[in-house]
Amino acid sequence: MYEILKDDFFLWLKGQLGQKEILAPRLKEEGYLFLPWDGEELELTGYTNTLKPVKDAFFPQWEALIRYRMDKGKPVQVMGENPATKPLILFGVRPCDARSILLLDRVFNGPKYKDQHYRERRENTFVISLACSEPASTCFCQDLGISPLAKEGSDILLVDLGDKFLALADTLKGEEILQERPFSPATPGSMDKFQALQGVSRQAAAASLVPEILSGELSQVFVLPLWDEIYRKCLNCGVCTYLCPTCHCFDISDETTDTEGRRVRSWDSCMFGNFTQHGSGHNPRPTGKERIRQRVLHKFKYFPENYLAVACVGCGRCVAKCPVNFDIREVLKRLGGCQDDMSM
Amino acid sequence: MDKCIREIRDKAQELLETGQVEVVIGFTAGTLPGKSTPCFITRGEDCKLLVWDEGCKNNLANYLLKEKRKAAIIIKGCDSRSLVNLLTENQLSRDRVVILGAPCPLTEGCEGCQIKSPVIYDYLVSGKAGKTGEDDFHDVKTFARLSPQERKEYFYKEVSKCIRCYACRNACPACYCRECFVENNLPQWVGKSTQLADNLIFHLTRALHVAGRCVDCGACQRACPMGVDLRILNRKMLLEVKELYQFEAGLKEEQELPLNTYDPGDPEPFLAGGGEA
Amino acid sequence: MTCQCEIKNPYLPYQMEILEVVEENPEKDLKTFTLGFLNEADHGTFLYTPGQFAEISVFGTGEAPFGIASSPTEKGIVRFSVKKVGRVTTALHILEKGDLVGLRGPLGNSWPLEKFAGKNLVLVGGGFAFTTLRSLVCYILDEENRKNYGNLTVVYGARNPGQLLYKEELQDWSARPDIDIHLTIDRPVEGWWGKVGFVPAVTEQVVTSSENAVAVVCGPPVMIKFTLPVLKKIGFTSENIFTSLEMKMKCGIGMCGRCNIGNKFVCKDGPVFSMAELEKLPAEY
Repeated sequence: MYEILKDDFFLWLKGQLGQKEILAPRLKEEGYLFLPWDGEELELTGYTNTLKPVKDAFFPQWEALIRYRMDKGKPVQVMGENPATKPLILFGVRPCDARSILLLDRVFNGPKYKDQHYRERRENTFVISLACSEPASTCFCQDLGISPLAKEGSDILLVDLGDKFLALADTLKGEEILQERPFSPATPGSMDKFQALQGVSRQAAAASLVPEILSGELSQVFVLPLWDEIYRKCLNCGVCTYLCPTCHCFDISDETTDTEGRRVRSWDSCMFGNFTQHGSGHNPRPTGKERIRQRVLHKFKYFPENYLAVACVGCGRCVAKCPVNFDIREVLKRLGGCQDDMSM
Repeated sequence: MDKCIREIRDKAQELLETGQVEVVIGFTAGTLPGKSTPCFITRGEDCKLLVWDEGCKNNLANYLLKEKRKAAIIIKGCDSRSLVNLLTENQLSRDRVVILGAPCPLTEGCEGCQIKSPVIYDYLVSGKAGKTGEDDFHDVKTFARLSPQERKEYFYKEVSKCIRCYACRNACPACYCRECFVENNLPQWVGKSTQLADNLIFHLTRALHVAGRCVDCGACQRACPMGVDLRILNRKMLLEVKELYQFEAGLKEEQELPLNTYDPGDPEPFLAGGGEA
Repeated sequence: MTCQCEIKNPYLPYQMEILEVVEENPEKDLKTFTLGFLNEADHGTFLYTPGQFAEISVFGTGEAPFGIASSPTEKGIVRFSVKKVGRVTTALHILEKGDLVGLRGPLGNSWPLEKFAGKNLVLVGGGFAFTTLRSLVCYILDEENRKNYGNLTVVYGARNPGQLLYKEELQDWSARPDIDIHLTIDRPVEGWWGKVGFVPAVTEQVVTSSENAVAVVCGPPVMIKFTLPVLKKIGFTSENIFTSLEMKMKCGIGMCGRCNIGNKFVCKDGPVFSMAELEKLPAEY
């Protein structure tokens, strides 16, 4: 465990600007977003989390995967598109989002298939997270057993201790940085403070919102009557999935002129009707019912079965931004047998 | 408002229990402060869960498009205008829906709102809607006074925020195309990126497509997670339609939509040399 | 912080030349494309097994997945039969001999040849879903491989003779002693020399034993639906019946998230599944 005076930290961070691009939470009209930082003072007093999730840095909303040229009388020329590989520091990531990076790793950097673009960005990015002290009302990481002080997924996690940060590393890269000045080993006083904070969050993290039934047979979960009810108010827009740090579904389409083309990957959403629609018109998930069921079960059943972790980190973006107040927490409660009100 | 919600609940319960409808579409308490959430009630006893308060912001008319059961719907002024439009455009059959009209529960009304009480209903819940005034479109007129460069910059800035989640389109009762042009791929009209050009095509086409049908309910802007100012564009179209055709959408059931009909005398100031400007 | 090892771009296709286009039906909406590798070196790296699929790129339009209709025993080429239904297939149908396309793959699992070894095989196909069954038949009929498998029975049906794929080849197979092939059409047509009747009925007629046998079924959903009970009646267990599924796909490598049925991705865990596996999954396909 290490520590650093806040002023010294920001000086150090500024010093990194020469070699690296730095993205930090910046307040825009619409909310906080990870945007390029060039060293000016960061306004973080009202910062709970960014509006858009951190996945954007590794898996951007759209990017070209390949390019081609179709010149008359010449064979088509096809080239791989090189992802931007500029070394990057992501500062101010919240622990929930940091965890989401580890989950995306399992998808895009699997044992058999690896996504070149994702992986190159991932390897070129150094993640410095900020532990949460005041979660928003929509935050529910602790209901999923995730601590607001968790360092998983961060190269370095900073914990606010007033005039200084306590600093913890979760990677070798992070540990190497912390061993050098201006970071110094944590004083016993700082460690005590951290332990006190941890005690509070550990108590809260006891409960899990993920109900037992989701570990059971799919044939039973799939036919529960709640799927016939909860989907009705959903607009089938992409807010929840686009703002979700772990949703990773995408589309691939070609954008072309007469002589040039690029194959573009763009975020897609299981909430959209045409997501699964065949060329013939047949659609295995024809209504909102099947799509909501897919989203919930993908996060809380299929992903855990395939990748050994729930694909939700409790950041609450989907809860906060859903136009009709569809609240995933209520769905989990109902799956767990709680028959409360009509809000679902 | 107490009396108002009591009337709503009683009427809804009566409609369900007498079998006049199979479902009541209304609002119930949400999970976030200031947010009530759309609900679909099928049992009379659940009608006590209905609410009618500040949080009831969504335009519920949307849900009738997908509802196959005979439904009652609780609506405020702007929802009722959307409903009129849907009836005019033959998207709904009037005998499949029982309309429970109620005064708009939003005390801080939306700017420019003229119709806080429903224009169409089977039952009208008592209670006073907040005051409304003549819409003078001063926001649009002020905006129009900016230089073309300033207007362009503002609009580009707003549209650049868009993440193409289509919440605006899906929240809009006027956007009911079976296949939206953004999803059509034969041909593909618009790219799937969030580059300015693609975002512009999406928003401008949508604004044109709902022109003369938009009732300025604000559902699109409320649904937008990125806070894009969509309303300025819609209200510009509203003003255009009002000035060109002396028409405001969704006010009367018998109205014909000006852009769905053709009259040789239609003003055409946007065509070169056409009409009087 | 540089890349430890070179990761290839999984979306970069092989460059292929269309060597031949065959119109398979009178409506001309079903064509077989034979592709050759533009770069000799690529040929050795595209190693596939019957039952796998690949993504064909039509430059200027996009990419779509198709089951591979050729057999790895047919050296130097890869073949696909494509019905014109959507954007990419329409663009592909315009292309001619000599035009270039992209090919990405092979993708997915394959017919479980290791489970088929030493067994009698019953292949039941319908319509234009015969493509990867053709791959399997060609593979088994290859001199090197034939001895590894028992009897080979094929039931293949279509609405009318014109809709049968690979007509010349079917004739050749009919004349061979090492394959028992039954072709059928829905209604009698003058000059038709095969059987008349639906695939399930013909299957019941000609397949008499499930002993030491596995069955493979490929066709339209309704054909599969009525063939399965027939196979069960003959004695095939769910573990010994295999089929191949079609879903809308984009990436083909288990990332884009649209082709899953429960926790299985059709692109990565399929497209080939045993009925026993499918019975554990919801029928969301």
